[in-house]
Amino acid sequence: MNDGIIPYSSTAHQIANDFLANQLDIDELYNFYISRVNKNKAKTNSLTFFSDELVHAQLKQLKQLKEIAKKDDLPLAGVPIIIKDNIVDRDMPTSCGSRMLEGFRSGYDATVVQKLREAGAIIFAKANCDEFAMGSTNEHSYFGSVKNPWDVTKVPGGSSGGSAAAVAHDLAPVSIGSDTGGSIRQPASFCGIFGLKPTYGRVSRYGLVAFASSLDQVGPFARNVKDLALTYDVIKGFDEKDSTSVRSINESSCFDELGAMTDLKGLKLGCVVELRDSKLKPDLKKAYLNACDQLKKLGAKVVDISIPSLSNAVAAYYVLASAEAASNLARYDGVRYGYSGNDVDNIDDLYKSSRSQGFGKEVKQRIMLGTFVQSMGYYSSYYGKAEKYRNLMKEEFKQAFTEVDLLISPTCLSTAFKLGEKNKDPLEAYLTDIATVSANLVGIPALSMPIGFDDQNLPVGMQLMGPWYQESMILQAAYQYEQKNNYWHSRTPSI
Amino acid sequence: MKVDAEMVKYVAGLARLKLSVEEVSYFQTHLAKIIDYVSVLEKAGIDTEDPFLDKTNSTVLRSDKAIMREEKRPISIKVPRIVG
Repeated sequence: MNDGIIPYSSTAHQIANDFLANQLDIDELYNFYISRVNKNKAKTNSLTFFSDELVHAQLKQLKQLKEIAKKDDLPLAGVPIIIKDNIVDRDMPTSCGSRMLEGFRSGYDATVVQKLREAGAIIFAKANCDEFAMGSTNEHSYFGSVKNPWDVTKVPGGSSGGSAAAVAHDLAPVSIGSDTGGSIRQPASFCGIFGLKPTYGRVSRYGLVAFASSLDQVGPFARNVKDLALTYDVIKGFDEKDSTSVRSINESSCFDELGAMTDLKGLKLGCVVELRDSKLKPDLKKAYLNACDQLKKLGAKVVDISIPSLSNAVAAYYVLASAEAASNLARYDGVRYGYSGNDVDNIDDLYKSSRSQGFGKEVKQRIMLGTFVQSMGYYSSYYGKAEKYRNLMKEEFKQAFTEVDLLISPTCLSTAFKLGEKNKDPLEAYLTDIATVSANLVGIPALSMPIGFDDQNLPVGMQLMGPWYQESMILQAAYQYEQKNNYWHSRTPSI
Repeated sequence: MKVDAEMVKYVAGLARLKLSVEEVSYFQTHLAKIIDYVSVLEKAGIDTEDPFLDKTNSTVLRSDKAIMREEKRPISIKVPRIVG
């Protein structure tokens, strides 16, 4: 380990500032991170690909770019960023945590990756994830389970568990994940860091391997709000390659606006009673209510709000997400790309062998559920009903945001649980998403921020949900809270 | 709703999956639990809703407007007439 740099001391905004001002030895920084990854990556199994040669090649290009580019065009200059392994990068393999795509190399960069490169970031490594982003524990990866850096016997959350664990363990200051039903916010909560799921359409999905196209959204992880806002500013924006990308709505810089509030006076927060009064463990409830009190001390008005449709949100989510997954994953047939089955007699046999051997159990289960809910005789009872329910939820959330500025809830109803604990009953794992799926179903932005620790010293998270396209308001509220309650810098994982 | 082995095999066939005997048994148990759970939507009192009507007017799709090629990209090269 390099003696000059202290773990957990580097932030993305400082790295970029210091590098551009010639006050940072970038080679020293990367010697530190490369050494740290090589020594620690096996402890949590959070990475699926890392190459120091590739990092050095990018550094060489960055040094040349720094000489010719304007400083304002490089907001992430020199920042190492880890990318979830379901986002394509032309220089690294993209496996989606699956045997089906083991060793697959894309011929192009995802728009998110392209934007990060153009902003001066170094694409540092690929992060392990649940297979095709399906899972809430990161135990469903062909490359093995990811472990929580706060306690390696516990799950890091999923499906972006590798992205969250890597940042929590300071293998990089920032990472990118994807969130279809809570896959950024839940691991952020379990790993004690910040995670943002933007409004649907705000960040391009071009180059994100599709799981459920109407729910998927790319977003950042960081250990502080400034880094989260800085990274979000870089990756957001219209992209003509994504037909659901939003054109120019509220394009101002969230990073610049962080200081717009000096407290939370005038902000009305709706505490979602269905999530607060559910099966929250006493120590979690204590941490959550304490955070509510802190928000009140900052000047926010906190009121109770009820959103009745939350009761069946998980059911609607699993019908819709599985139906879309079954359609999206139909392309993996063993012919065009990906794993191809052996010892086959005909084309139908090839399809079936490739898919049966290439996909893991959880993915097969969701494909089966998605196929069932779209099959003749069941379509209107399940898929049609779930679509109707989704519309009902949108209406309720729209109503809620006429009453309050932001909604708050626990991000999860538990802290990180033991590896294997929720594998026997699929519903137990699915129900861990109860607080997060709604934001995906209705398409609103939501953030998870660390608010303390439970009785086992595991991190607890609070979720802030805002109206469509109001990421800046969420980030400003989280920033104000962070300034007064900065738990992260006082405690770090002990591994 | 009852989920039997035949139904699991039928759905697997539609999904182009070949399942082992153990897998049929595994998915029979798991799918039965999940389908039973998602059936709560049948009792949610939402029959009058239009499943594809977005009441929030928050569509993120671009407007469905045809753009003539000339408007989009002017022709920059015109070959001079040679024949005739």
